[in-house]
Amino acid sequence: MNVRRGWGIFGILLALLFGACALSLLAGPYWVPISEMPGSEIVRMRIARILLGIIAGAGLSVSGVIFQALLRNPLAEPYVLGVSSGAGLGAAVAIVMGLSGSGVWGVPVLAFAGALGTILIVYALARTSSGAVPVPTLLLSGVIVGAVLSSILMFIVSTSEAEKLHNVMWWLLGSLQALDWWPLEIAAPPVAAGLLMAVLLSRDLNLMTLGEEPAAHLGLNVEQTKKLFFLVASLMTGATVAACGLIGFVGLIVPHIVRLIIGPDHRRLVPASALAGATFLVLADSFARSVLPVEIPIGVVTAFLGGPFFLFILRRRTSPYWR
Amino acid sequence: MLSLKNVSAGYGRKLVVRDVTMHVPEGEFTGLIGPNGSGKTTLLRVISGVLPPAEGEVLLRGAPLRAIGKRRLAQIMACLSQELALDLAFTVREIVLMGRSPHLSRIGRETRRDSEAAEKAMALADVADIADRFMTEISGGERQRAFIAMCLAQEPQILLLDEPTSHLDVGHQLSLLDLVKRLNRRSGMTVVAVFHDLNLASEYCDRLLLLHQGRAEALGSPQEVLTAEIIQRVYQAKVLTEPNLVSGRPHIVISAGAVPPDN
Amino acid sequence: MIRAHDERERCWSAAILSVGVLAVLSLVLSARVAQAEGEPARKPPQRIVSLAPSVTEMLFGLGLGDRIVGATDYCDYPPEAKKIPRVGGLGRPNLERLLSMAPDMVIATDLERKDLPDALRRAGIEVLLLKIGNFAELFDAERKMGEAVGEPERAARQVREMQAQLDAAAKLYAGVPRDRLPRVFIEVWSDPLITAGGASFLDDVVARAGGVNVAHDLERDYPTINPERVVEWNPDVILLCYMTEAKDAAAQVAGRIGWSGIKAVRERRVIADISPDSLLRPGPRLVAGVERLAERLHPPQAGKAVPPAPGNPPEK
Repeated sequence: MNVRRGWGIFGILLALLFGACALSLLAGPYWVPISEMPGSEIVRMRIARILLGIIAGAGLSVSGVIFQALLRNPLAEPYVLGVSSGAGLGAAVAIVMGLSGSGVWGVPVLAFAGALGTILIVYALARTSSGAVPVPTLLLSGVIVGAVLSSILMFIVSTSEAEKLHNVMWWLLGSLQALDWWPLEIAAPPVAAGLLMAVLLSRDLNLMTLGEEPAAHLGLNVEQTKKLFFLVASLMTGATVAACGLIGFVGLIVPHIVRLIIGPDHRRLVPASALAGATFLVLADSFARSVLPVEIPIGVVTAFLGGPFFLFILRRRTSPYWR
Repeated sequence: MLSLKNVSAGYGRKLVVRDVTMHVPEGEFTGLIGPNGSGKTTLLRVISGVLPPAEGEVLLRGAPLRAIGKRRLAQIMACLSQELALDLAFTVREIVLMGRSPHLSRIGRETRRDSEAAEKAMALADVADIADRFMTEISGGERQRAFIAMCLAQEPQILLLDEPTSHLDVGHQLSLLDLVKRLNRRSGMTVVAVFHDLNLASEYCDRLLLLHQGRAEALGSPQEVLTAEIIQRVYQAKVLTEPNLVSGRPHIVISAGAVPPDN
Repeated sequence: MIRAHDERERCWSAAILSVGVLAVLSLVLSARVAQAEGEPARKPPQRIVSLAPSVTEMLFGLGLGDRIVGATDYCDYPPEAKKIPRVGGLGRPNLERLLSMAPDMVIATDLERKDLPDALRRAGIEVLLLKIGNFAELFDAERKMGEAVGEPERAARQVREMQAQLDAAAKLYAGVPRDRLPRVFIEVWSDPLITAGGASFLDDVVARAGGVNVAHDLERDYPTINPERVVEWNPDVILLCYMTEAKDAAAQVAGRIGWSGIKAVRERRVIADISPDSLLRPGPRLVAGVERLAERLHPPQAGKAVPPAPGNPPEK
């Protein structure tokens, strides 16, 4: 099967996703026999987690693909422009102010606000007088803003009482626990819209990888495209972070793995990354809930599973996509 | 076809190109030459539309460049810049097909017409036999030709080249420039190219623009521009000019400077 | 060459020996200091710094409120305690401020820095460390404190009163066999879902109120759990113990995915209106919390239908 060109690979990815979902339905501290599944409340809870995992996994992966294409840097990922610090700060402020807990919107709203606010600040700082946003300046601006926000976050962490501290740290590690439907409700629309946009405009992403000037020579309005894609990717990231906390590694690793297998053409890379990211996160969540008696934070699992897998793929080096 | 009127341009507040006026008739092969830092690449970027001039304006067939939409411009003008990424894991064919972007709608797919245009471009650029190889696996010369094919797939009327032969050995240099010259002569494609090597510029160009510290120092045929006196003034180098043994065009003859005796 | 070896070996032995002697010496010294902890003060302390709200409450209960010169940011009960100068957060006092208050005794429960008591003792301040993990320890702490501050009879009286209240609460479920006691899920926090395990004070509170903590077998004091476990445990009562802004927290709980089948939700026994202070603040007020909880778990009118707890969705 020609992985580059054929559509067979998508069939495989879909099958893998189904498999991951099936596994996730079975995973957990309690065994639910298949005959009992239809009415089972526990299964309902697991379905909610699976859906959230699909949305978050797809959103983070595609967001990573977009950042890697625009910034032309293999280390780029959804949190590279300081978004994680901003969102974390927003969430920490909400938790410390007591605006958290069942049915209270403080944490997701402030986390989302933190994420978006950070992007806007970073963007504004990097803008030149002519309205262009040069990539190296953007990266630098993101790192600096991220560092400053991080330090404020650490300050809050250091002065808060033990119980709030625990909540903040837990949030920072990410979780797909879905007791209500609202995380899905706030994450699904931006992620779906972002995915659609990325798929439709994949060619633009291809052109961007040639370089900004060559892309302009081929008729692309580079600055407008950059702005649009940054906004889209940031919204997807912000929504995911608001719903699930900070889940790291997915946005960095999944695009690379998929690119090594399927190639850099974004018309295939984007949908494949979405599927692969969803599968990866659903699998990671199954793992997080069932391996130990305590629930492992999902950010830990994604790093733990993702890292070695990426290394494995990298070492094979038979891929022509390995430069 | 292409007119520059009192164009000045630069980066930030620093002007690199000052008050350049020139006219490129249709079908002509024009070369931009000059010492390092004289503004050749900057001028080319102004012509290609990516760098707006600080003063003056650029006209394409009488219409101001900035009024022409980016996509429309890319359908007329192709530019091979130095900034092209080298580590692209696309195949040659995929890269060449990207050259069809200006002719496709934003979310449209490629049609047979586009595939044919790409095949034609690859044949012209002599990369048809490596069409399915990866850009990372081919040689530097082949890569340049692949990028030329990408430009040709745009079906442009004007081709801009920024030092297209740097990093190429003499064989590849000549084959690339022969290709461009052929296109220029047979299909009337206007070419503006930045040259580093004066002899290559002399051989292939109909006219030369010599830049010195951002200003147009000389504009004319190779015979008019490449004189020993002008070269001495601009490059501070003492050379001889002789007619090329084969083509008769001016040929710069260099010799190593006198070595002072050991005392 | 052989000589050099001997020299080096001798050096090493000397070094190891001195290190060993130093280690033993310090062990002995610290043991002696530790012994000093339990000894009663020679005369009652006049300037006491309290490093825990429970301690502050107990001191006020012993009538010594005016002897407290420093308290934590969270010491807010009784209301007079709010006027006491602040010395820092829970378990994390500002050392300089503490010393500037010139106390002669410091009473603490949990301290982040384990070397703090020794540092204070070196400064000539008596330190009383109390462990308050359940009611038995609470009463013990009350007695120890009474001894240390010179009010042993009042302390004993306090303990008797508290015990009496606990006994009164126990009467409410006196005849109920153990396997008919309501099974309670204690929700300490919702996101992540945290409950109180067997090692927590809350576990003891619920037990004294005549309930059975479904998470009793979990050893840690506040473990984070998978919500699926609550569905499996199927508790009779859900007790929310957090200070939250949400006005209808109980309804929120009832609406959670997969929880609609839980007995507590179906019978509308989600308790969200017992003040968290009386459940979470280790100290004398917990006894009030036990009483309130017992009344809710075992309502006096036996045989009548249990009314929905406040905040639960009304009968359809």
